[in-house]
Amino acid sequence: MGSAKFLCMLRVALKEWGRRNWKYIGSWIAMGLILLGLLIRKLGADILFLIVPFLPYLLISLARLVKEVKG
Amino acid sequence: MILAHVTVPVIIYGFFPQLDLLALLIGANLSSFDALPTLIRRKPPEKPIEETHAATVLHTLFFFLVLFVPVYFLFGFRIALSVSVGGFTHVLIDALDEKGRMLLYPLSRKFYGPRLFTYDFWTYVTDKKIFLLEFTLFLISCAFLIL
Repeated sequence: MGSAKFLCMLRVALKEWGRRNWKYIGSWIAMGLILLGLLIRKLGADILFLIVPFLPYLLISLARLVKEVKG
Repeated sequence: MILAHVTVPVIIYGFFPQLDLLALLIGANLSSFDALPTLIRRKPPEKPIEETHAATVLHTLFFFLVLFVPVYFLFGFRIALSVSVGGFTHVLIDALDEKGRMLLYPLSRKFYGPRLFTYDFWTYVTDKKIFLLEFTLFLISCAFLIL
């Protein structure tokens, strides 16, 4: 783990970072999707109470990612 | 932590099925609403640790103590307890990172915690030890959800 000072200087080139860490990214996404699937199985439609309020956050994050990758 | 805000409440539910899983999960993710200023900001702050995220009342134990009262009157003891326990897990798990959290708010605005994990998102998701920890929690929660 880097020091706070190092972290402050860290600016991420998203495309290159993604290429370098695709195994981690894939694993995180897979774990998230499996967990979501199991929760949908357990809670049914009730899961929407948890997901829907965060959809705007997800959309904003994705828009920022796309902008950063393009820019 | 990232997935732990879902896996830890699921594990707690596995041990205490008297609680309500959905209420636990809602409580455990309420705090994340203060991430909005971070998402819509134009440029990152000089120090990532100074982000608005995790520095509001939503990331305090006090908030979930207070929230217990209206939720109790609206939905009853079981739901109120589940929401508050879920909220506590979020704040306490987050307090493990190098930023810490305002655990004694409103008595103190100081950030407390053991400073075990990095706060920086990009470093966090590629840290082997953190990944192993989250993966272990993921496996345990999957076992509880499947069985």
